[in-house]
Amino acid sequence: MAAFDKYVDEAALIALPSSDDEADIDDEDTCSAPELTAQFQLHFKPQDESVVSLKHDYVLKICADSTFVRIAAGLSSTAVQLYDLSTAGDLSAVYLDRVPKILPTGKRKVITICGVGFLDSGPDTLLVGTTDGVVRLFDLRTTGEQARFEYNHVKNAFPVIPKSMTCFDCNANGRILCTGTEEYSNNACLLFYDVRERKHLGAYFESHSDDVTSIRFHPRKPDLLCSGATDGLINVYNIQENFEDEALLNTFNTESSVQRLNWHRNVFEQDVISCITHTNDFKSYECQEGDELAAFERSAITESIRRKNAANFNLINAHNLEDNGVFLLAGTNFNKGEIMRSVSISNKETLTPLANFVGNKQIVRDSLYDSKRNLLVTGGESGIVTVWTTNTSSTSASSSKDLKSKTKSKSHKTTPY
Amino acid sequence: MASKVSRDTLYEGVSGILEHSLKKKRGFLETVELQIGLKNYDPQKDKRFSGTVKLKHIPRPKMKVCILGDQQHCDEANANNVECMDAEALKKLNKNKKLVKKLAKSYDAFLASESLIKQIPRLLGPGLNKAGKFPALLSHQESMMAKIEEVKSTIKFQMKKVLCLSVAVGHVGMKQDELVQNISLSINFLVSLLKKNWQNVRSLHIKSSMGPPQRLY
Repeated sequence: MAAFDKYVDEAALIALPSSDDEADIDDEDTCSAPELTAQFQLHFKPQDESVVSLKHDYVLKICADSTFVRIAAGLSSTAVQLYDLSTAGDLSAVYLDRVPKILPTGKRKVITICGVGFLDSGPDTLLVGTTDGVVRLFDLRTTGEQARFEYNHVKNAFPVIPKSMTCFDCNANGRILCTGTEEYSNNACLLFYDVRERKHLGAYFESHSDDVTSIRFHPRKPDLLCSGATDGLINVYNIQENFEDEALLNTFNTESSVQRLNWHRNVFEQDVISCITHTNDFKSYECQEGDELAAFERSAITESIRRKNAANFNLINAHNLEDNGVFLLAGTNFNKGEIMRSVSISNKETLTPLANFVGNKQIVRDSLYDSKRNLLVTGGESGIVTVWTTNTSSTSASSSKDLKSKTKSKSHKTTPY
Repeated sequence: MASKVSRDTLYEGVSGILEHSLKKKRGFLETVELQIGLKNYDPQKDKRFSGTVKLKHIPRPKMKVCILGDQQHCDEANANNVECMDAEALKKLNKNKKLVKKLAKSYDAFLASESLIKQIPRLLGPGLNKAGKFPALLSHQESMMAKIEEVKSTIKFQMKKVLCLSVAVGHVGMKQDELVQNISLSINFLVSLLKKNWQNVRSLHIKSSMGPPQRLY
């Protein structure tokens, strides 16, 4: 008996169990497989896949030029991988060493890519932004960087401009570059640069009170800009105005934390801004008047992709369809992001199942959609770039060398349009 | 209920905090906060851990809310003894930065009617944005008092470069049950936002402003 007591005492001394032993939360479909096939009319399969890095690097950002012939993938290791995308949707790695791995310039030892983007709609000029606050311009036809956009910090100057950058975007005519910073000593800024003259133009530093997370210029109107931050605000600006006070057109309060912004167009030809929050909710606003057009909570979207557990749900992106409709791309963290589906926004309150993406291998972090070809490109946490198509006769993707893809040969009846 | 933290542990921790605060009364109402430590999480490349959560019971009762209302909302506010301002009063500030800053400082949060919220950048400039107090929308479909309650009971959390986070979930004047409900709601919500859920949690503590921390996990 004494031995038993001693055993109990010893057990009590042992620290609480490590959470590594915790099991994954259960998750499953809320309907049967045939029902799923019937509801999600489109079936996407990986047309081609490429592993960008064998280390634990994430693909954080991907971008394509306006004609969708070239794709750039920015990694957490600051490497950038470039691909040409064939009309059939096959990837081939190009310019392997044209964009060198970027080393940190300032005090910060660890930096990652915070954005990539093609300039001037062509596939040859690429902008690469890193979290230490530098945007570099590369011309892919030659080696070496062409230009560098960064703020020259002056000691004790007012206002204090934070150094770490979180996002950037270039406007519709390719002349203005805007970068967003993290908050530092109560300042979070939007910095502007003239792309052609390679110089700093000015800054907005009053519209956000916390880390700026998303900056998006309107795809066609070069002076219209929106920005989102972790303070939960979305600001809309007309950058033609000289002062921030006048430039600020509208502010929408999401009462959450903004992760990603997108521009859309509704049936009345109005500009719409949609927002994905860090809590995986979706909201959209009419740009001029600021009316809230749609709002879906995490639980509602989880239900619409027919999954049971909202705690695993992950809202990836919102894309425009050819007919100006909008669909949400959603995934789960369950089993390394195995599930990926999309739902279209039918009206203010309804989400309709749209497509099922079978054979996903990672938690997706960024996506691109080509509405003309109905082709989706994803990049994510296992360092894979995947091209998704609805093709049934998948030309086996063995053309490119650095490829390990083995498309799961599940027989799925694809329903035609 | 957070299955990983047993009901008993939670009650024990909360009563520990309440007892301690009774033993040694402070000159202010002590806040109860939840501290969460993470692991297997890289703030450089993993998704941000940031957002808001609405609790069941108001954690900060002293929050001062001001209504920026149209005629109907101002009447309602006056009837309910809530401070309010109308468009005319805002126009008088004349975009003066100092006055807007002063206005922002005198309240903890703002609510605005639909017609007014659209004019705020025009009338006040970005002053409220900068102060982190841009109003939330108050529509005519919802009750003003309910919305004020909602604003008061919503807490904001954001993890920056360090792997821990602390949120105020209540105060020592609350009942044990109320605290337990707020804490378990926060835990469940926060954990659900983590990629690997509980596998990302290193530790959970609750603590009052002046008391010792109580470990939950």
